[in-house]
Amino acid sequence: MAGKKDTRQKKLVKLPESRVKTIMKSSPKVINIGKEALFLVNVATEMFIQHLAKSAYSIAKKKGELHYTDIAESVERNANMSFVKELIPRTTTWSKYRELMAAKGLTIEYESSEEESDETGSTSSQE
Amino acid sequence: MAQSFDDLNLPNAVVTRIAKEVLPENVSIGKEARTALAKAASVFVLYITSASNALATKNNRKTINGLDVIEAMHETDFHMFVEHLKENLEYFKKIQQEKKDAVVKQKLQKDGESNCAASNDNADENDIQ
Repeated sequence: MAGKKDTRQKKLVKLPESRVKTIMKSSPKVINIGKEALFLVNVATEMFIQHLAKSAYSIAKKKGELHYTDIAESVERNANMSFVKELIPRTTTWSKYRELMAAKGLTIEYESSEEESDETGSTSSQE
Repeated sequence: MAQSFDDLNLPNAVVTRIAKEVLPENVSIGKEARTALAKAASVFVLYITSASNALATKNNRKTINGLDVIEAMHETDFHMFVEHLKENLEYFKKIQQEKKDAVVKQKLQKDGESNCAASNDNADENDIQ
């Protein structure tokens, strides 16, 4: 091993280590992070990204394209992804939202112009 | 402490690249989808960290170790990741050991060289060997 000169050591991880560490350290109560732990969180996150992407693509209606809605739907359907549900909410159309509210016996007060357009909007209060 | 919001987010480009590895070629990922993936991944880091840290604390440790992370996968319902993580951990340990060995070897070589030089000096002082 000492003899062979590798101009570049094979990368063990793809996500930037320092960024992963920064995020980990921002977690309250965390004091120290071992090297192995940092490495494994990095790998696990990579696996998570691929897991989510694959799952979303299997739902995707239009093959060849992966949309936000596919991801949101995947998150909705998988119990172990509930921790990101609020971050990646399903979106809906304005008219569907009104129907939903009406079904619940609620009315929405808004200033209407002429005709409502079918604008896609998020049902959550997030931006 | 993180300086800006960006510090707490994984880079979109890298996340997208990782996602594309498991999708058929030429699948296009929408801009909002890319952002969602990156955000989800960042939150996943926090989520796993929190779970791992809880396990470390439970065992009266201040440092999160590899086994805490693996155990956390069970706790968070990501059992399917465990096997692969265990393999990676073994590989990582092997690499770390190799690095250590290389450093020790280098040090021994250096010490050997300096000892050689020292004994040569001694030989000059004591003519009779």
